[in-house]
Amino acid sequence: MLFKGINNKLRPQSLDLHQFLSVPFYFLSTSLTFFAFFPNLSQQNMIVCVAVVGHQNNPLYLQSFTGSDDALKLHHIVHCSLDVIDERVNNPKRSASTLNETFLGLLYPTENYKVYGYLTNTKVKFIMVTTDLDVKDADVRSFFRKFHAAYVDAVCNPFHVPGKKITSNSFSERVGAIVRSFGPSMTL
Amino acid sequence: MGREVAESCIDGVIIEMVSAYASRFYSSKPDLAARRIEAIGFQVGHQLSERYTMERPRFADHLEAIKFICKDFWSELFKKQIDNLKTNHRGTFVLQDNHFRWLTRISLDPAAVANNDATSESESGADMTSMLLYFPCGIIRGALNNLGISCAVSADMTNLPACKFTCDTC
Repeated sequence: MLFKGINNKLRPQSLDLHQFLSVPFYFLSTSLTFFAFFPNLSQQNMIVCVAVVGHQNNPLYLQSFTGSDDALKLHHIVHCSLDVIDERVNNPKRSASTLNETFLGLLYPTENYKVYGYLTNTKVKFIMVTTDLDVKDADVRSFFRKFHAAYVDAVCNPFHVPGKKITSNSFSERVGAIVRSFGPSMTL
Repeated sequence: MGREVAESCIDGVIIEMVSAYASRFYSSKPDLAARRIEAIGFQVGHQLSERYTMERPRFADHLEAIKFICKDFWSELFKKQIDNLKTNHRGTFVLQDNHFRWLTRISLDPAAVANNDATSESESGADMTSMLLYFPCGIIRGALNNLGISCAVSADMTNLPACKFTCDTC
């Protein structure tokens, strides 16, 4: 009998914990230096909103990470960025090598926020709004990679109906963990 | 990554699902059974294509998506690629697999299906096999649908274990 058996390999959740613990130390060091210059900015590298939008521009997941009075404004920003994505995809102004990339980059900067977009092969859009002013491209890319992995796992749930909103609690927790660990301290 | 499961479990689940839908749930309505099996395959293909296109850049046109199905998608599912791809350049693609993995365990011996209440014993084996083939047709249709190509997929099994899937995009 050459059965492979069932490998009880659980997901390495200890990895997220390690990154989560390293973030507060970074906050301590940066807040001491930047607090004098930006008195309004008490937190660095903060993602305020993430959204998943389906291929018919139907919202599948919308989560904001600030107080509720900001939430509507963030949803409005996400909605406006959908137009930018459509325009970016239909009229590529760059050369053919970046034509089919999934990561769309900075969509548009508003006065306080930067909006990043990511388009998957199945025409599902991920949108991320951040208040960070000097975020690095590599950080955003790795954020989207982890977010994509969490999204794929949520969609493969047999109780999830394709086209409807994602209601999984474990997906929300995973997204929360990924958002909390966003920043230059990310190694993956 | 995730956990692993023996391949014989997958074979067992699929064979039992097809036989449950065809002989127990909808035994008097084979069309309905076929549609249910194909719908299950559709959802599976939808989710699998989401997972297997994760790291790849986007496809430029329909042909690249079909080639992805023939190469990467098929090798993830069946550990081999599609052996032959034909197109009439007007929206019809024929994918031919010369040794379809799920059909290798099917026996078409009429004596083995003696308890079936079909009209003739030699037909019942072919009926069961065509029921089984609705599932991979659904998988292909679900995967292509998720990539933006809506089509109708049908299977042709005139010489086992080779199998031809015809995708009509119009």
